[in-house]
Amino acid sequence: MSGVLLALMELRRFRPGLPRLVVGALAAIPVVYGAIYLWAYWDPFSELDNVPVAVVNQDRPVTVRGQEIAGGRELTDQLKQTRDFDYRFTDARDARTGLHDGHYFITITVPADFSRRLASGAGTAPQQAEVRFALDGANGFLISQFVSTARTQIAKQINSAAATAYTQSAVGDLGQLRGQLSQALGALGDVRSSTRDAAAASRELVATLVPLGSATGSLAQSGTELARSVDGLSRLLAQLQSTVAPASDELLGAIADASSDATAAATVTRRAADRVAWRTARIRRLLQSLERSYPVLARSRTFLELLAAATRASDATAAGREAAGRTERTSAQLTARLRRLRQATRSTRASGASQDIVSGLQRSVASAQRALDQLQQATRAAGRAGDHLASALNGVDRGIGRIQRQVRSSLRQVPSLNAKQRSQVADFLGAPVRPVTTEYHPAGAYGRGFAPFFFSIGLWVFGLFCFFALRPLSPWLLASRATSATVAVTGWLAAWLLATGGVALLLLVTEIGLGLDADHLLATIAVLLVTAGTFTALIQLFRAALGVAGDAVGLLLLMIQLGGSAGIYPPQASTGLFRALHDVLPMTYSIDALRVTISGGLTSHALRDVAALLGFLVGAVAFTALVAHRQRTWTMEQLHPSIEL
Amino acid sequence: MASTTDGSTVLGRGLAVVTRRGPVFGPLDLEIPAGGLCAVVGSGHSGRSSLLLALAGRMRLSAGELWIGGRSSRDGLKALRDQVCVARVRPGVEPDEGLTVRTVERQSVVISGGLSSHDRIAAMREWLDLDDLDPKARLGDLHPRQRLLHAVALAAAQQPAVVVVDDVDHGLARADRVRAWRALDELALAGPTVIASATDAPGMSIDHTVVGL
Repeated sequence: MSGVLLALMELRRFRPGLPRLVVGALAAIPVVYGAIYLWAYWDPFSELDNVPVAVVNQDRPVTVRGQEIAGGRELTDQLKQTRDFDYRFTDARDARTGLHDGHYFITITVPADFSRRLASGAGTAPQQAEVRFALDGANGFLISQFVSTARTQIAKQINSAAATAYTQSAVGDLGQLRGQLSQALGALGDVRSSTRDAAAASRELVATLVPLGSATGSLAQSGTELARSVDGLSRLLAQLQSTVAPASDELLGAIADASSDATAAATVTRRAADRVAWRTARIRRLLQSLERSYPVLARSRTFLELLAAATRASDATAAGREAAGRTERTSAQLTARLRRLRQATRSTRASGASQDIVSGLQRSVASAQRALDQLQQATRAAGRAGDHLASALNGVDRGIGRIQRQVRSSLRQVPSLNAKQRSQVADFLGAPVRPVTTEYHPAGAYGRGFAPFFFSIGLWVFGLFCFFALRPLSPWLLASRATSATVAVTGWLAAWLLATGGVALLLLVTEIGLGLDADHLLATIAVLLVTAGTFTALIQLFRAALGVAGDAVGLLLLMIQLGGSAGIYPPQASTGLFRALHDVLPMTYSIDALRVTISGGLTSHALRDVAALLGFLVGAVAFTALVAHRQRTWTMEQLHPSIEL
Repeated sequence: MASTTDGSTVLGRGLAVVTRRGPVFGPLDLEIPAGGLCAVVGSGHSGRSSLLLALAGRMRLSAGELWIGGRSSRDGLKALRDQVCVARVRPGVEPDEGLTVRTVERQSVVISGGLSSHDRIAAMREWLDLDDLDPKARLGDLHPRQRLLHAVALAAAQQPAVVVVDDVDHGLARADRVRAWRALDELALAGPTVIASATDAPGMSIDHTVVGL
């Protein structure tokens, strides 16, 4: 309890007014240190739409099978719509100079072969398309973070553009494939009609086989009659031979002629039967070979019926041929016997009964003739029908050949990929576009990128502490004849001389101990010395003009500069107030100049920055001189300060 | 003895300085003859230092008018300031205690704007009986009387019309005070008007004007 009381008294010892105010203001230190920077960079990635990004479209659209593929245009259109960044669409030269000038933080270039490579995805050797990002470390340190964000945001658009291009070319191929398959379908239609013709031809064949069958039947019948007559005649002859009756030479001659006619008829009949048998056998063989060539025909009932009918016909005609052969042989034998008999008994006369047999024989011959004619016609018709069938089946063969050619050429459209090619295509479809990033003046190690920022902070803090020990303006000198300018410069130079030692120590440790490896070491030293001068001059001014409150101002300004000077993120990532202050803060220029001297960048920028710093320096010292002039006339506060640090 | 310029007359009517916290000193009148010695007497916090600064032309008066060598404060303090050299005003307006004697003398030569020189300072040192000063001694290590008189020597070496010195008594025993006042008296006789502040008046043996606060 007593501790609390005593503690309160420690605070109450400060008089009301400025002392209490200063002590109370200590409570503001956490919020100044803790919150201001967070306020500036609360959500850097939400302010991306202020970050200027140049987009250069160098793409040349390609036409693939009638389809125009313009991937570059597709991409830029999508970027225009999404507005993730402050996109500026420009040409390559402007983008490049703008990047190094700091007008653009990132440039995106779509190369000339973008569309061509995208379209290659539908082929067998797909090539990844590229989109090129460029950034300049001299513009800011964590730009590469933004590039990553940009890449992610833009990747969506890129993949969408790539997918569109790829689909366009693939769909184009499909269309062609479709056309070819339609043609194949048409060819199939032709085959169908050819098979219909074949079916009709086979029916025709079946139809002709019927009369063939009946003709063969009547031929068989007349052959039978003929055989019977010949048998009758030979029995008669036998009778005649047994009754040695005088046989008429003419009758014998007639019988012999009739018999030789019968033989001739039998021969003709046999030959006809041979031909028929051969033809039907040929038809059967043709059908069998068709069945072997086109096994699918075996499924047709019509065909099987046809084949069976042909087989039956073949067998029947073979039998008919056998019968005709027998008849021929029998009548030939009879003719020979009759001739011998005629020779032997030239004057033998036969009874009227043999006349009937002869006329019967003649009739059989005639009927055999007729049957023969019918048979000839029927076989001719069968032959024609067989030809029709053959030509129809040829049509089927041709149609199938066409289909095969169509399908083969369609197959050529569909690439056949080996395993390696398949994996290439899969890779392509997975990542059709590859982003390529070029970083100019890279800071490299994080430490190197942060160095300008922390060096500047170090020098500012040096300034703050320095004037705790040093006097901004010496009262003794103010009371003397020394000019106000001399007094001001004296106070500043004392601090700056100390700063020189500080800069030397800083560079020694970072270059050698940490391996900073500044690109331009001497320039870095120079910039640091100028910065030290500027910062000490400014803080001297605050302290001289405002006393203790000047330290508070210096502290506040430190935090504001942390937020507004773009030490880490680019200024567009900070909230509005800090973006507005960016150009009037001294630390902005020290950070920018050190970026150039440590990691590279435009010399003109570094010179501009140093000029700005020198401007601040000269201005600060001038104002301090004015303050000194005023303080040559003492105030009570000056003589007895109410609070001293 | 190095000749010095003649002192200036210092005249004040209704001099006062007032701040928010209240009056610092005044209103008061004073009249110091040229080349005279004036003792501003008062305890600490009586506004002695402020009065001295005001008389040196280095503090703005809230009221009244001050003439130094015929120049009025109403015409601006610069003319007054140029005539007056401050030996010391405590606290703060004095040579830095961490500097050595030699360094302080060099500093004094530089900031005097050409009015002072090493020879003159040496002469004033001799005049004020400071021969035994070790040049390498730091001011803060000197005897308070030596420190006081050394500061006065630096001021006097610039040959001003008026020399102002604060807190003559500070840190001095009675014997030393007498010696200090005697030295100041000698200085006043030799040339400049000397205005010195102290807690106690110098004593009868020294001819002086008194301003009581």
